[in-house]
Amino acid sequence: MARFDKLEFDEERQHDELPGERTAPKRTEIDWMQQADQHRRGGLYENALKFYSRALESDRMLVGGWLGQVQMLVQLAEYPEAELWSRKALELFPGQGDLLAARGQALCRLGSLKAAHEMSDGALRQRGQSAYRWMVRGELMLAGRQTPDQHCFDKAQQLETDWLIPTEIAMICLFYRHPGRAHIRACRACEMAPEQWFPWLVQARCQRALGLARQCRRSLETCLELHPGHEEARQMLADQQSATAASLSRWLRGLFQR
Amino acid sequence: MQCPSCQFENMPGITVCGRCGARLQCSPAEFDVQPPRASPRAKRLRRWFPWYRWAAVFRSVAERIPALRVPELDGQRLPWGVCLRMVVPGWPQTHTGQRQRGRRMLGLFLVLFAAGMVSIGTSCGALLLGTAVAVHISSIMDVLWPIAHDPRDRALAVLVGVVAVGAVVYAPPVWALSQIVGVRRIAITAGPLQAGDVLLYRPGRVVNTGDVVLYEIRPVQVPTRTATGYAAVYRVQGEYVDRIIARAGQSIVWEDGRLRVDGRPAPFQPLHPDSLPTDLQFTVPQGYYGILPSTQPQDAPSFPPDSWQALSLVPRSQIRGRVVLRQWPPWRWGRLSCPVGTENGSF
Repeated sequence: MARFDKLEFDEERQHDELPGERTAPKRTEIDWMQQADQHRRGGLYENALKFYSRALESDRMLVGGWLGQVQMLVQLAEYPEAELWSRKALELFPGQGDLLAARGQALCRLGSLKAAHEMSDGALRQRGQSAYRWMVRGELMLAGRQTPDQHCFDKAQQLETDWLIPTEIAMICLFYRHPGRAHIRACRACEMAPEQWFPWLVQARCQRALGLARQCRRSLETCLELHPGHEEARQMLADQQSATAASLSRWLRGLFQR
Repeated sequence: MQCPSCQFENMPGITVCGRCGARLQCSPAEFDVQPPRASPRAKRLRRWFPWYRWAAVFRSVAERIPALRVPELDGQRLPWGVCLRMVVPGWPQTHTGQRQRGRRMLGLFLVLFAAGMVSIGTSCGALLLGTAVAVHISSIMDVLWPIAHDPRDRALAVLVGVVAVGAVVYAPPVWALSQIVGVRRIAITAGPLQAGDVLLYRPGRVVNTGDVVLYEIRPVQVPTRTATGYAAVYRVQGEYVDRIIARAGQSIVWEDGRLRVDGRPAPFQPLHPDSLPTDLQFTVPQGYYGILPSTQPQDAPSFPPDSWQALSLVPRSQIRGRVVLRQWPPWRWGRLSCPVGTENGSF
């Protein structure tokens, strides 16, 4: 407009962006999604949730961003919030199969198995297939103590060959206190991606739950080799070593007392 | 334009997907993309009290309950005949044509009630009687459930029914029975009474010499010495069971295991004469009974003679009633009214 043509600004402000000066590249929603995925693969769900939100700020029609948010809320054990958020996402994308599955997972964690099954049925009826839908189906089976859960998890692994799928399945099995099943999946994830530290950590959790102290220590050492500064792995290893030392001293004391 | 939800190809310019109804365009300020978060405190609280899981369990149970409704009476108001028959478990069911169900309820109630009455005074007896009452309540619930469809109305109807039946059927006989007979469980072994024995007594203060009675000793502090020689104050109180030796005005002489009342050998003995001191002599004043408290615990220290005398004089108001029967255990079941006899296990 002509009335604003003659506005004067400070000199400094004009020199803010000098030609040739390096400015931070503008990130797109794809970059944010990649960042979120990276953090998710490291088990940093809080950070991943923030990056999914950033991606959605760039593009609110990004289904993956909504889905990722709900999945991260579930991983962070904020089930009522995850259920609420999945409902909101489903208002925007009513027939989205993965979002239906995510809502089913949140409902399952909340204990509403019947509603969760309805959601999962709806998700599987939608067009296309995804590993996540079958993973949620398997979780529902596991929560309902039904045997075909293994087939659902196998189907999920068939659909996507990503190592994250067996890792997350292992975490689901651990959540429902099936460390044996979880261990099988975690081993599979470690075979698929031995250079990734997160499957080793999950495997160590399974082995600790199973009482396999030596194997757990080995997994934790591998995990720390790949990611030297990982605090949880270091703490777990220290606990394992102190537990071993305590049992050894107990055994020695018993030997001398005899 | 492709729908992000169902991948349906819509015509350009359309704002809502023609297939699934998803929005195809969003204005930036339309909604927030930051998800709601739980505070660490809330998460900790949820870990301790997973209310959502309890709510889910409650919902699933509430969904299953309507399946238990009696189909014949569904949606109808109950006739008075059925309501009046609620006093007997299973009777309303039999009246409405569900004979098998009614018989089962009545049979179960009778079995549990009989078993509970036999073992009354014990934990098992309390459990059996409680279960019998629960069977009766379930019979009432079974009848009253179809009155309303709203769960709160149903709960209210059942509550009113249970209170009414309790007031009419259970309260009067329980009150009447408590006037006729009382139940006491023996806590410690002393003489012929074993810990766990259940005694039935007839409440009242009209008792005769030689009767075994339940009486109360008000708190008395007795200075004595322990087995190791230390000075100690022994507190005697509570309910005791023993035989009335003498009435008001009579003199008691207990010497070397022989009891004399008014100078004559008494035809009865205390329940556990071995625990008494060797020498004891006193006269029972007016308003008192003479009861030698021989059913002291086995590890009780020896009391000085003046303390024995104080403990042996029991005011009339502290007599609870006459013990008539040892009801439990069954192998030592028997009447206790016989005034003579000093052998262990009998009176």
